Amino acid sequence: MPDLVSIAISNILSPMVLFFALGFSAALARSDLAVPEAVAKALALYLMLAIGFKGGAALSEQGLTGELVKTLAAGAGLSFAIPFLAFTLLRLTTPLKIADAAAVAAHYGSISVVTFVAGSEFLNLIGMPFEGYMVAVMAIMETPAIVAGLWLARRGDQSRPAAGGTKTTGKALMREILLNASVVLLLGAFAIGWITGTEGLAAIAPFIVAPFQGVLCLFLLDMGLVAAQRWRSAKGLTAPLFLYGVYMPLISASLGLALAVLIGLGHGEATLLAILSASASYIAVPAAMRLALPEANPSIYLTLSLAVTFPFNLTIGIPLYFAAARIATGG
Amino acid sequence: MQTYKKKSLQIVVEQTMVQPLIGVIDRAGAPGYTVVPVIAGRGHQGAWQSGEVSGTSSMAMVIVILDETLAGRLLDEAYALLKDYIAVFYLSDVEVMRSEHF
Repeated sequence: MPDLVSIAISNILSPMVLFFALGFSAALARSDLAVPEAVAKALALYLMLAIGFKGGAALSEQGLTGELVKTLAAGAGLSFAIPFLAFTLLRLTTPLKIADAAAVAAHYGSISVVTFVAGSEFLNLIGMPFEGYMVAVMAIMETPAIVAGLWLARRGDQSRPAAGGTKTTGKALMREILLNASVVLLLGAFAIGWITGTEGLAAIAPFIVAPFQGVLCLFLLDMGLVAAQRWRSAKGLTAPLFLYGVYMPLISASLGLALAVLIGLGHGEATLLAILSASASYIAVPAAMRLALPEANPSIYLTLSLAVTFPFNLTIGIPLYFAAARIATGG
Repeated sequence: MQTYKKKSLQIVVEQTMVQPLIGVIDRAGAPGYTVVPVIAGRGHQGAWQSGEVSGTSSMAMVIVILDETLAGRLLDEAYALLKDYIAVFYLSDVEVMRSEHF
């Protein structure tokens, strides 16, 4: 296996990171480059369909194992527990109000699909195998953090109504938590991949395998544009908040790694569990927070998640978690 | 040409609250509604733009044309739902040609 410095460099010089950098620079330079909203949404759907299907197909070969159940439980536990730590650190180190801190904490407990996809592509690039079921772990980690974040907001401010406020928003919130698009598509595609197995995968491989990296690059170009726009319009991104966006993923990744070692995961799976723990949501959780915590300022949590933590994980975090996982698992 | 006076209730609201708002409109017995996408703007909480991947900053406009009595009631109920959310409400006089549709 190549040494860690060259792995880190090859990650930074990979097409996906370079396309992200292109989008980021273009938006900073105020280029009119833009990816239409409908296209960006379609690309996100494609990535979730492809990664879900491939994970399910891989599981159909390997079969259900006790390791899968343990990893699912570890993922759900991390997603629920990380917001408590994230909230405490925010309240100690930043002047954020309770609602803002709870909303940010929920984002850091949940996951980013694209960070996971970039992490798995990184592992593919360096020839490190990993189990297909990690996709299911990702899906299960989307929502426990939302519940934890809303509970933190409610506990911190007894005067505010229960999460969801009115009956109407409560219903919309439940739908958002249980049936949000990424959970439905990831788990649905995972189930279809599992049912149809390698034959199913062979049938649609020209659609979901061959173009995957190119589509990921286009999506990351858009992510770069969005991150830089957030960066430019960021108000109130103070130094303590910026630092939080960098050290919180390191703490979460360490927790993920510790749990991975405890349940005996291999190097590849431990790396992915660390990446999932370190990543912060920018699709499912913001929508849920707008519904249930409207007083929390979206520009704080979206800027932190999209413009600080996502670029950090993509460029430095992923190879760093891989290296840490190598030491932790003795891989 | 014969026209009939009605009220038009227009609400520019964040995308995540469109479905809950439509639930309120349906339950209030409004005869119909129209949802249109909006692109960008600036208001009390600063500038915003639809189209970001998170979808959180997207907004939509919901238009309901109805009788004056129902308009007042619906405005109150919509306000109760949206008072903590990003929203712009306004009511205006309009004239329609097919009164029975509204």
